[in-house]
Amino acid sequence: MSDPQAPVDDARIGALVDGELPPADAAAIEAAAAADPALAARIERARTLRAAVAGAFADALAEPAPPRLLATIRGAAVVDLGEARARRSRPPTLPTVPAAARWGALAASLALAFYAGRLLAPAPPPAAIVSGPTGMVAGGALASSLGAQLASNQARDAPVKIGVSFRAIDGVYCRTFALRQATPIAGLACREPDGWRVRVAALSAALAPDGGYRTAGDETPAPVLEAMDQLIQGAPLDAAGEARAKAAGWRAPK
Amino acid sequence: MALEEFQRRLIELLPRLRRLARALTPQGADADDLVQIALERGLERRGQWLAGTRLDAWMFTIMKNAWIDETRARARRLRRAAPPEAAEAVADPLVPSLELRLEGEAVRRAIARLPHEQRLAVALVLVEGLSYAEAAKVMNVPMGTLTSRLGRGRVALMADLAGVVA
Repeated sequence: MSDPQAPVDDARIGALVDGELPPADAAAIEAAAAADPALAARIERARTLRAAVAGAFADALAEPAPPRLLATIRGAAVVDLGEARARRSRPPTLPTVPAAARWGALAASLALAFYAGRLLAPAPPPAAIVSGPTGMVAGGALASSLGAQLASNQARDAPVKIGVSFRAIDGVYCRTFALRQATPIAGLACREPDGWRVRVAALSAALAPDGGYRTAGDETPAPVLEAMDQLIQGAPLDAAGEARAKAAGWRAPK
Repeated sequence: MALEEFQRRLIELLPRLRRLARALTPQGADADDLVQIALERGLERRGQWLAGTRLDAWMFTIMKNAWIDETRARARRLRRAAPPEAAEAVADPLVPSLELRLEGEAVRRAIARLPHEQRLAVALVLVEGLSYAEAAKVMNVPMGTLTSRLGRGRVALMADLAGVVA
């Protein structure tokens, strides 16, 4: 135990507020501070600083994890959409996924994500997604589900499953969706003046050992997560927010 | 440890990794890039982590090394380019009160102005709450070096923030 009469230097005050002093030493300083307002004030300042420094970054603990980082942890390496688009024009070859290969089954779904744009392009597009002059626009069941269906209240066997709804950085509302059909497709559409524009769509299937497809349940493909990560402003809408946005016709609030 | 278990624990740790990254790289957008690099390296090297030891300190060490690599690369780039604008903290819509936001922003800017070694000590002990022994181990320096850097960082922050948090 240190000499209680010695002046208390800043390092000891720091150690006190950092919980690094043996209990007897801490008690001695606290006792000295009770009789020494200047010392008490220095301790108080150090405590305030510690709390302010910790508090300045506390938001990180409350925010939802970005899908991009979750995808990294789960081994689904983020797919570069520009790269995926560039591949569309090349002849089909098996995509290589070096880093992700060791993640086994995940790699298969990732590989298919690369394929998605290409698979959509040459084949007649599903009626749910219509190729318009300026890109893909939702049609049919997809368009009506995007407008009317609430994620918080949807039938298990509905042909379209709505995922997450959110405000995008440019202010419009966007929703992720999955089409339950023979070729399962998941994507992200945003409500723009001329309708629901599909900003990204990807095959949401994993490759079965026999080379065929099996549906990968409700997994959202990496390109869709990536697009959402880039677009989202703040947190996803909760059930009440989703209902309000629907009531407003998914028009961007002023 | 099974991969799934390791992944689950990384997801648990993610908020703290993001917090440390923000304390180290107050430029806002860079922070999650640093987290991503640390996650990739941690997953690659997970065979080197000893089960039973602290995963947070292990991941913090990986993040520190990635941060130092990135800081050096950035310094090389900056030597070739024009002097950088002062880093603008990103306004955070989640912080409710303007007063609190100003205070948080002032603190983040003050930490951004600290020399890197002091900033790392402040981030590990004051932000992440590591003990001196744990922080010294992450920084790979003797305990006396850690307490000296922490002390100088604290004095600089006090001077910088006089009137803001006092």
